Amino acid sequence: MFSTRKILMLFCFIVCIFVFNIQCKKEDFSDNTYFGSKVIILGHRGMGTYYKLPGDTYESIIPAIGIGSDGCEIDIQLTKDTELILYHDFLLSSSTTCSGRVSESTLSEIKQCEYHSIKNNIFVYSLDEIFSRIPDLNKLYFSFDCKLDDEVTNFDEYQNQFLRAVKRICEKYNMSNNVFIEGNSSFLRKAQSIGLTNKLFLTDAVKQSSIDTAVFYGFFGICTEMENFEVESQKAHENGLYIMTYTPNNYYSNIIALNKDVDILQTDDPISILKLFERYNYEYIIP
Amino acid sequence: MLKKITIFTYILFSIFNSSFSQENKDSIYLKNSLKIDLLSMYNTFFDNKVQIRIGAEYEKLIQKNSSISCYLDIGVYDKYNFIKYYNFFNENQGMYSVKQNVTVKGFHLLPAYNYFFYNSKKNNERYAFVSAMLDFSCYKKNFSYLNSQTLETDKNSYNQKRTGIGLGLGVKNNLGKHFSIELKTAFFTKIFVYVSNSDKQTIRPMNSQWNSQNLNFWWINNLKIGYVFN
Repeated sequence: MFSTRKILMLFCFIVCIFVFNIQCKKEDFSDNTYFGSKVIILGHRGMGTYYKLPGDTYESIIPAIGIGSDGCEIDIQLTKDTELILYHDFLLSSSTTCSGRVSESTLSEIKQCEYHSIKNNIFVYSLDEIFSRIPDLNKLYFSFDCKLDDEVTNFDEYQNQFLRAVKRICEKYNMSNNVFIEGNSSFLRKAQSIGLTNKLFLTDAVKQSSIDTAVFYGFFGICTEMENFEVESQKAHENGLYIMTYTPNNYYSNIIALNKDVDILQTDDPISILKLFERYNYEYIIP
Repeated sequence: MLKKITIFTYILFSIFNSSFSQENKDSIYLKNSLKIDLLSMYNTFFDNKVQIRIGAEYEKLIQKNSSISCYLDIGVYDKYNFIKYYNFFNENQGMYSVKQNVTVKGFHLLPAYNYFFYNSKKNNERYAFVSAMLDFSCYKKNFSYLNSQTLETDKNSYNQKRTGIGLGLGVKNNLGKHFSIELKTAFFTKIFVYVSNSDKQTIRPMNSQWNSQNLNFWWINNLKIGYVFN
């Protein structure tokens, strides 16, 4: 039999839990940006790398949009027949049933590649297929992490083909204003010379030299890892540059990233950050 | 998911089988109990939404090894805002938002028949039981909508009624003569659902810890502290 003292202790424990629950008030964070807008919240490869289904797929992008994300960061690559696909690694064998390099395979070959996943029938998608299936596409934002395979024979021409394919698809879906392109300085300058009107983000640390480069070439902003801030975002903002950051993967790292005054956040945990700012769609049921 | 639940149930059965197999079976002497559910009061820390719920149960012993119970879960299940921003770069007509304010109030009534398949007077009287249960729920959802660009507003509400049937598995431990603690897990399937406005989305079972995407199945857990009396 339990003594009265033990029952009293149990009761106190329960009371403590409820007091703790009440006392855990959320701090006030802001999603306002330097430019008088709101932070754009993008799901990294869709729902993030910790989602049960593979990223860069329709199955990962649709839930991210469904819960309220403003869009997604996606990895894109060019196939042998100059089509764009969503895939992270250069080797198909790393995540799918196929083998070979993406740059050496055609779209029809790649579309047969099934992801190793807990769910069957998840295949590699073309960008065209993804864009055609997303409802209200023009209200969303996408950041293209262009995976350039430097083992191709003519890398210069390969980059040009890549950018022309990006231009083609953005124009087809009227998405030039809503698609950001990440890359190094030379790739972005190629994009400018080809006539891409997308928002171009220089992939580099936030430092004085990258700010100078971005300003000099008229890039839209800087895209960097959360840890790569050598100077404050304010410096970039004062020069009219937007800051996009990636790698936060939980509630606390999302907050750390926000405290760096970023304008666009690519996160592996879109749920917690959307909930924090009342931007989470509770009605959507994640598959 | 179903596979996981089956494995979980099997493990729970196995634990109690090994724990109680050597112990004497005995009846439950005190006939009535009133319980309060602690899990229904739990609010998720990182959600910016309000939940004010209370869950309570009355249980009456009807035979040596069986009882009937009725569980009531009532309150504000959801109260939150959902803000969606558009045109972040202030192009064309500038950034605007669509703000929805949502409140879901209602109750769940869960009558159950419980069969005690293990009991022991050792270890302060422990019981393991299975339950056949029903889940009647009734919700009223109020929502308002404001588009900051067009200043278009909308205010509406609708009702939903759902009935489900399920099986539960629980363990109960008496704490002294008049108190008990009970852990129960139950899996339900839908019998019918009625939504007063057919254009609106069906509300998920708000008392559940998990539900399938088509809302045909849901899973409820309870942790109850009870007062036992004759």
